[in-house]
Amino acid sequence: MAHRNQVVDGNCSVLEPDIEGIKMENRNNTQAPSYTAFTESIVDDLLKHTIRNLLQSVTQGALTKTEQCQKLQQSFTQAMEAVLTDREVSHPVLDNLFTQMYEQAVLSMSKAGLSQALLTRQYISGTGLIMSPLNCRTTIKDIYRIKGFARGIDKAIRNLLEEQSNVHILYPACGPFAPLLLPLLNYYKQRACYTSEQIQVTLIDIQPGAILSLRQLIADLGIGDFIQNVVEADATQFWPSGEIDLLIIEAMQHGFSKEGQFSMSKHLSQFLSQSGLMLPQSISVRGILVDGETEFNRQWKEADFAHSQYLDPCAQSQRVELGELLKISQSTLPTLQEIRLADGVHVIEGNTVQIPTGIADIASRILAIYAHIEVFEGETVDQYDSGITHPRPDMTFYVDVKPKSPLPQNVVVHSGDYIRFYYQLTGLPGFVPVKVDRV
Amino acid sequence: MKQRYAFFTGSCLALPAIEYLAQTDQLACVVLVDAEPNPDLNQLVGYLQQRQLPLCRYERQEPHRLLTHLDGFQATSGFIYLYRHILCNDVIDYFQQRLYNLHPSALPDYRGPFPLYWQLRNGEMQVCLTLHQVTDQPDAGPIGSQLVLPVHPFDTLQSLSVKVSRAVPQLMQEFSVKRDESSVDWQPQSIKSDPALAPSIQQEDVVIHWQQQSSKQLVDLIRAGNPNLGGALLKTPKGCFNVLQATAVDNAVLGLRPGTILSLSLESGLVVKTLDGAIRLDVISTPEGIFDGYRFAVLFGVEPGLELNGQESRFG
Repeated sequence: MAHRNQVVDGNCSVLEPDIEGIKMENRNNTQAPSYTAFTESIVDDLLKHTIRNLLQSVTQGALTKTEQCQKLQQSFTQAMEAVLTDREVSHPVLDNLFTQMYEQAVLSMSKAGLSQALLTRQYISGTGLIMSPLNCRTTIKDIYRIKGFARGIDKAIRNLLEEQSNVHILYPACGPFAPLLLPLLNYYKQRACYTSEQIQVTLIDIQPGAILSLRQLIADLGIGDFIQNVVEADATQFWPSGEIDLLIIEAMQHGFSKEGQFSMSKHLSQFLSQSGLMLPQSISVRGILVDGETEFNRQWKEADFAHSQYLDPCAQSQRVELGELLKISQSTLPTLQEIRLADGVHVIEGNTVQIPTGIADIASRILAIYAHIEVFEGETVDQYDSGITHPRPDMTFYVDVKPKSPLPQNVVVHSGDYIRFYYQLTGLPGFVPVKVDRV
Repeated sequence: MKQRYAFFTGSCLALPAIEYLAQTDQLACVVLVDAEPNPDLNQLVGYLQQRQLPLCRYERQEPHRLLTHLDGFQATSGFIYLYRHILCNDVIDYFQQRLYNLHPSALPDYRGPFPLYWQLRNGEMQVCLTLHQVTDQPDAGPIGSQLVLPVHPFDTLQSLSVKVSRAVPQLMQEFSVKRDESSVDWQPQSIKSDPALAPSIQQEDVVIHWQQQSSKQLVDLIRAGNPNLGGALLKTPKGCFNVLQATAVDNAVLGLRPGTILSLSLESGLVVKTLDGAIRLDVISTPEGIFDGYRFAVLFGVEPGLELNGQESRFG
C-alpha cells in the first residue's frame, strides 16, 4: 500500500504508472488523437449505469484525451470564477456551471478504474460514517457549500500568504474529488494566482477508492505540483510529519450528525502551526422547535430552491428558538472535555436550554437541529444553503406529549424543563438531549 | 403377530417412513388428512398412486367410513407423522393403544403443530424424535421410544425436517424390535411447570424486532422460517422484505441503536447492528427478486447509517 502515500507529481505523464487501467496521454504527444478515451477505460458496471448519460455524451463528443482534460480544467475554473467574484451570479448560471464541473469530475473518476468493491464500500467507523466514493461524488455539485468554503479558503490562503512565504494545507476526509480545494487549486493554476512553491496540500481519505479517484483527478487537472501527499488513512489517527498552516475539515451531515467532524477537528487541530487556521472557523449548532409542515413544506412552496435567502419571515417568526447547543471552533475545541460513560461511549457536554412555557401548540412541534457554518471572515454556509446545514428533525423528542408507541430512544420533556444537549462521539455522532434540574 | 400399520400423514416428508413400511410388508394403508389440497399433499397423492400403495382419506364429518377402510386393509396398528390434525376418539379407540404418534421433540417440550420451527428459533442444538401412544390429549401419551438427532448450525426448517424424516424409519424399526420382544417400556411424560411450546405460527412471530432480539436469536429466527415461512419479515422505511439467511458477525462500534446499518461492501455484504453485536443479512427475498445483502442494499438504496427500524411518524 506504500504507493498510495507517495508524493504525487504535478505532471500528468509522471503520474502514469500510478494509475490503474489508464494510459495517460503526454500533453506534448504528437500521435494521432484517440476518440475512444473513456471507452478504453475499465468502468465498473454500476458506475457505468449511474453515469451512463454522461459516458454517452462523451463518446459522442469525440474528444481527445488532452481535450477532455482541458474541458475538465475549464469547467472547474469557470465554477470557481463564478463563486469567487463579488458580482452576483444567478442561481441558474451557478447550477449550470456546477453541473458541468460535476460531470467532468465524474468522467475523470470513471477513468480511475475503480472496482465496484471500492466504489460502493460504505461503513460506520468508530468515529463516524464513512461514505462510499460513489455517494461522495455528488458533493461537488452542492453549490453553496462549495461557494462558502471556496471563498473562505481563498481569503484564508491570502491572509496566510501575507504573513508567510508558503502554506501547508491539510484536507482530511476529502472524498474522491476534494471538492472544497481541488477546484480552487485548479483556478489558481489556470489564472496563475499562486505557485506550488506557495501552496502545498496533503489530502487524506480512508477510502482506497477515493485515493485512486483523487490521483486521477489531480493528474487530469494538472495540479500535481500543488499536492505534497495523497494519503490513505483514518484522519482521526493521522499524524502529519510537519505543522499545518490551514486545516480544512468538512465531514458532517445535517444537524451536525453522523460523520466525524468533531473527532477529526479535535485530533488534527493539535498539529496547527502557531498562526495556523482551522476552517470552518466556527460551527454553531442550534436548536429550534418548529411546526413541521410550516418549516419544511409550506415555507418552500414559492421558492425556486432551498436557500437561506428564501427563508420565509412568517415561518421564521413561528419558530421557537432554543439557542445554541454547541459551538465548535479553534478556541472552543480545547475546552470541550470528553466524558466517558459507563458503556464506554464518549460524549461532549453541550449547552443547556430551557423549553419555553406558554406555547399553545408546543406538543405538536418538532425539535430540529441545524448548523450555521462560518468558514472564514464573513464567508458562511447558512441554514438550508446546503445539505449539511439543512435543519434535521429529531422525531424522538416530545414536549408535553407522550409517544403512542414508546421506544427506548424517545425523550419526553415538558414546557419549562431544562434540557442539556450532549454530543455523542459514536460511530454515528449526534445530539442526545437529557433533562436536567437547572442550568 | 405381524403388525400392519395404517400411516396417517399429509406430507411428502413422510415418504421414507411409508417406503420403509411398504418394503418390510408392514404397510396396511396411508391415511391422508382431511384438508384443502396443497402442493405437498398433491405430490404425496401422486407418488402413492404411482407406487400403487393403498390409500384412503380421513373425513372429519364421517370418521366411521375410515374405520371401514381400516378393517378392509386389515390395519392392526397406526403411525401418525406430520398429520397436524386431531383424530376423533373413535379412530383412536379403534387401534386399542396401538396408535403411535411420531413427534419431533423431547416431549413434553414443544407440544403443538410446529415443533421443529420453534426448536430452531430457540437455538436447540439437538432434537429428540419421540414415539408415543396417542391419547385423547394431543402429544401427551406415554413415550415408547426416542431418537436424538443433532441440529446443524446451518439447518433451516426444511433441511431439519428432511433430516428428521429420514430418521423416522430407524425409530420405527427400533420400536418394532422392542415391541416384538415385548420390551417396550412405556413411560408417562414428565410433568413440567413451564414446558416450551410449539403453537401455530402467526405473522407477528416472524417479524424481526431489532430492539428485542440478540444476534443469535435473529439468525435462528431467520433460518427457522427458511424457506417455508419466507425466513423472517424485515420491516424498513423502504418497505417489507423477507430475510432468508443471516450470519452473526463481530462488531466493536459503540453507542448505536440495534437495527442501524453498520456497513455495506461487496466483500462483507450488508451488516446490521443488533442488541449484542451485529448480523450480516446474507439473502433477502423481495417482490423484485432474491438478492444477497449487498445487491439488495444497492438496489433499494439502503445505506449504512440508516435505521431499519424505521422512524415512525410522531403523531401518526
